[in-house]
Amino acid sequence: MGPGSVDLDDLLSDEAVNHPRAFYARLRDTDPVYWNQRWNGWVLTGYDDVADGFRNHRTLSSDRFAGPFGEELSAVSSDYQQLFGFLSKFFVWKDQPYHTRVRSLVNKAFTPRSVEVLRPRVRQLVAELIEPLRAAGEADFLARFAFTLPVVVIGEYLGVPARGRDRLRQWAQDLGAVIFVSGNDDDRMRKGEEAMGELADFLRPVIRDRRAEPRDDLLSGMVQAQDRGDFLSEDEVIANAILMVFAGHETTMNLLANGIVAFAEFPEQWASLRDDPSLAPGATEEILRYDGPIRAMARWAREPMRLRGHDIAAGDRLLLVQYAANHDPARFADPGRVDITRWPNKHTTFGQGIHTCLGAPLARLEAQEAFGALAAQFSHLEIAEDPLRYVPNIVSRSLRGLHVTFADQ
Amino acid sequence: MPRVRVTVDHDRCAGVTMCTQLAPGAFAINGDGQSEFQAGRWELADLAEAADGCPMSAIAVLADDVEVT
Repeated sequence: MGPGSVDLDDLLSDEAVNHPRAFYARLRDTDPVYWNQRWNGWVLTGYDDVADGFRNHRTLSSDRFAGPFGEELSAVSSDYQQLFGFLSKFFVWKDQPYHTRVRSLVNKAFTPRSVEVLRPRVRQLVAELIEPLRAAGEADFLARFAFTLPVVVIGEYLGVPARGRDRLRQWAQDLGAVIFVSGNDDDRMRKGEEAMGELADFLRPVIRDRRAEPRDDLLSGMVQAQDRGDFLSEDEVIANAILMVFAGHETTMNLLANGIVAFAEFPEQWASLRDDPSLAPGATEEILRYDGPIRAMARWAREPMRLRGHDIAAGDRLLLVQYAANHDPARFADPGRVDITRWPNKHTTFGQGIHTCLGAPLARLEAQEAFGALAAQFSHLEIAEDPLRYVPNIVSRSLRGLHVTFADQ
Repeated sequence: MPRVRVTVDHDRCAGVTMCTQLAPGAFAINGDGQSEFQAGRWELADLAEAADGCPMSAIAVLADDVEVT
């Protein structure tokens, strides 16, 4: 490859990792349904195709334990039995009817109304986390704020005993490394296996306590959840709790950090939010669209299908690139600009269809409270990372670090 | 019988299909993956459940112009 040229098959190239808008636009312009030789699947970058792909859950499977993903996993699954035993109960990686059965049992706990009761506590946590930023005037926002808020919130909501919360962070990190990264690196898988085993051992007695003496928390809620005589088994409660820990952790952390970067790039939008705190929900949606924490989600075709002149065969893998869809100029006017009053703003960051992110209302609430309070507290943000570096990852949009100078004038 | 009006905001609806499960018969997913209210048989309590259970806050149910929750 000559200088200045970009390898469209390399989803982990410098441009793909650090300048995704440019990279995905290049892909979309070349072919919005692009056969990626290296990833060995189709990469979809147009809004309509990505949104349709999410909604078409009958043809495009999420099942990680069947089809092409299942073949990869079965090669290693016997070595990591704890890990795969629980991962195989993650409803996000299942199709109907299992997915819908479990989702129906846990949906109630994550509706906008249900999570609204957490708002005062989230507000308090945000205030506590802002205080040291204000005092120091400079901090790694990722480590000091974005990392802490989501894991405390989900830990408390679940009802994980306080003594386990510090370990929860480490477990969440080790599991995130398995779940968000493709490929089966031995060391990472071993850590994941260990984390899964420890987390399950830690949660099992807590869940038994909650069965005997229910409290006002999500573990009790899952133990008691019933739908027409159906309920979750103990291992399913453990699997769901683990899913919520890792899913509620890394994604929300990246949403908060990416938002700070975007607002530093568009200071007039930060000023608007500071002037009018009622814009916090719109600001959150716009950050989700402009620089959301998720780049893409994978599916595989159960049946052959035809898409924009391409024949997609049964068993083919597809990468639905939400980040690209959110910047498709055919859907969003001036997509490279942050506009916190943008409406409608139907980004694909939470997915669409039956697999739409369960925790979306909670992520929204946390980001609204964080962005609103930070804007009220600090008039100026300056990013002290140059250049910003992101973790090479096909699925998540994750900074390595984010040193920020905070000022109020 | 109260006069019932149900709206689904398609700027919010993500086609999660919780409503079709919580209020059987009252909602259907159209060709664009969006939920639409169906005239016919349903219970007001189920409609309220569907509005409450919608992860995108896309459904509003009004009985005699008062929001049902």
